[in-house]
Amino acid sequence: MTAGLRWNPAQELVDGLPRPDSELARLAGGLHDGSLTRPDRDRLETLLEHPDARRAFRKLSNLHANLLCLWHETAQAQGDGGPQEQGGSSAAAGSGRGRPRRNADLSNRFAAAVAVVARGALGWLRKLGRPVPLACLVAGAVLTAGLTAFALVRIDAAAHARISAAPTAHSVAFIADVHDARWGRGPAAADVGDFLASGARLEIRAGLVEVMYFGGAKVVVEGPASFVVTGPAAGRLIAGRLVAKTDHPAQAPAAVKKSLFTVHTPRGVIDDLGTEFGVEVPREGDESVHVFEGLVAVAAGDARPAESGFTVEAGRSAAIDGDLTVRRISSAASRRFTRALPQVQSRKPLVQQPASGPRPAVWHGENVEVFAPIKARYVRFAALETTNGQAPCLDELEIFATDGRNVGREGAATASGTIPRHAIHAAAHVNDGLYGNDHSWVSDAPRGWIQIELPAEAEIDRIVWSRDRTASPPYVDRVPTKYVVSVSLDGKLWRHVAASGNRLPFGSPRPAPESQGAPAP
Amino acid sequence: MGSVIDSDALVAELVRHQRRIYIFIASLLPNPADVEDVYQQTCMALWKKRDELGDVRDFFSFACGFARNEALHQLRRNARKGAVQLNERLVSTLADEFERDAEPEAYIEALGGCLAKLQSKQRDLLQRRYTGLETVKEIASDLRVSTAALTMRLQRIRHALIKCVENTLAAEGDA
Repeated sequence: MTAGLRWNPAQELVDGLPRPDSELARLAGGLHDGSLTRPDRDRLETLLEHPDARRAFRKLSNLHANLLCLWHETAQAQGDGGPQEQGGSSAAAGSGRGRPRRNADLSNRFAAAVAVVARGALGWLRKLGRPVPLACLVAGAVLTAGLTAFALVRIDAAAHARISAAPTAHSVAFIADVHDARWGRGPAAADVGDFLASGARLEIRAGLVEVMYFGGAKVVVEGPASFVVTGPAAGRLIAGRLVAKTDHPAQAPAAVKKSLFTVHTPRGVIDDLGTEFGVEVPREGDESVHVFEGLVAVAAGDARPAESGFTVEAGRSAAIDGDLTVRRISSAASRRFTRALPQVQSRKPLVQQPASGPRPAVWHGENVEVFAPIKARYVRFAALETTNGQAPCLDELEIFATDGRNVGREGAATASGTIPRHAIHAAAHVNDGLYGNDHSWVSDAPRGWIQIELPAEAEIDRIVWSRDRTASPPYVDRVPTKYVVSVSLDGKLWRHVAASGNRLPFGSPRPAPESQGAPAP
Repeated sequence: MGSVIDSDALVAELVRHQRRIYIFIASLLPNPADVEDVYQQTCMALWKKRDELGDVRDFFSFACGFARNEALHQLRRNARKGAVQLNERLVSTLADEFERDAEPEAYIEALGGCLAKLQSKQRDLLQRRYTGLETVKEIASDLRVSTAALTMRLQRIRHALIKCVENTLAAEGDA
């Protein structure tokens, strides 16, 4: 059977596994990655006549299959909002069907896969939520047993929206502003206020797009450019220019436990150590990094910036060439980059940006959100993550008009959902003027929103919210740490006026009580 | 004449074995879309045959029979479209061997741990490959490398993962 094969297992295999540079590994990789030619296929079939080759091939195929399965399962774990996430107004609530939820900080689906598996959270309920068996069971059941309830939980992971009008459980950033932007032919176009999940790809033919990350970074992408949001503090610049900024002061590389923001490029990785910097990926020629303030670490290829030891300080720049070598070049070419969107007189950025430094961390007491005056009839507070992963709680949500009145007090409160069987946690408590846990709203899911419909349209410029404003002793759990405040005139088109992105991490020292919550000048 | 099992029992069996069935199919068909289709067809076939399941001692093996048939049907459909794939005889042989050597549930658990040990850039690359949103050719184009070079890079990562998983399972076996 193997006569004339001219294949020597002793040379090709190590511990029963094809060497990465072996012919069998190359051909198997081509088959799994869909790039196999017919002559390669014929050769692979010949090689697989050898039992040892087949055994080795099975190891590769088995890994490939497990990775596909892992991805498939993770997509379902992430896509658990299902139909609700397709732009529906209740997306922030999530489905709340009781399946384990991924940590919203995870930057990508594989990270989620790692976490899901590492937690061993492969329980019955999540399995029930997987779509493929359900899809077939739904079909069969509906036909024969009338189990229509299954149809309600059909989930289509492929349709998972990475760019959505409403925040979803997977949102990691949103588009804060655009200027003369023209969108290219890509997977999707986006607009101001759209939320971006990991994997959202922005194809920008021209103009400027400002992306605010929940992780705290602000990124201005200048078209023509191709940019992918890859996590709450990461993005991949495939082509074009961007400027990234975080509000944290520069730190020494040794003191940095985690990059504040990471930009991947085709040739390397740039870690933000507290700074503002520009990255350019031209169609031809070297990629370059230009630091305007602070410090970044740069690495080429698969190396990690923190380990490369190559840092670029303010006013300097570096290039990554085609040989994956990083070298210093001339001073930072700040004029080549657009560091902020032009301020059109009639249009101010909706989300207040502090002039210097991040805002104080959220806490259980008063948290103040100040923004440019805007007319609103509806105000929605969407909590995407809380201090302890439990359903969010707000004891009061106050909405102030430009004349200083709390116009929210007379409004009607509704919510994505409310924890059942707890009379003290009703949606109506959020604007009843009473503080404390006994007069609060708690969502029925780890994420959720509370909304107030004002009696009439009003021009507002400030929101004050809290988890427990009572003094002794206050509840400090369930505090929303990742959130977005949106307003609307019709309850359909929403604009985001405040977000958690530019706040210090929860637990950071807060300023004196009298100035707590006050926005930076 | 086989005894009848009710729909709840079939659901329970499917839930218990669905991951292994999915992996079995994915071992035979590299294209994720084919895997999804065949999996659904397998489930449907099992549903239609649920009257025969009462006497089945090994549900996984029973399901693999359906899955193999559906996979071979898929290969024929692909062949009519001119797809470059392994021949049916070879896939059938591999199916026998995969079914016999099906990895335990611990494999995918170990794989999760090994993914966590990869460099972020390697993990990102695998993510792009397995999300199914981009072809390898598109990824290679984005990264400005040849398809062959990208396949080689992926193979190195997979090689490292297999070694890691095998070491993990061996260590657990020794424990």
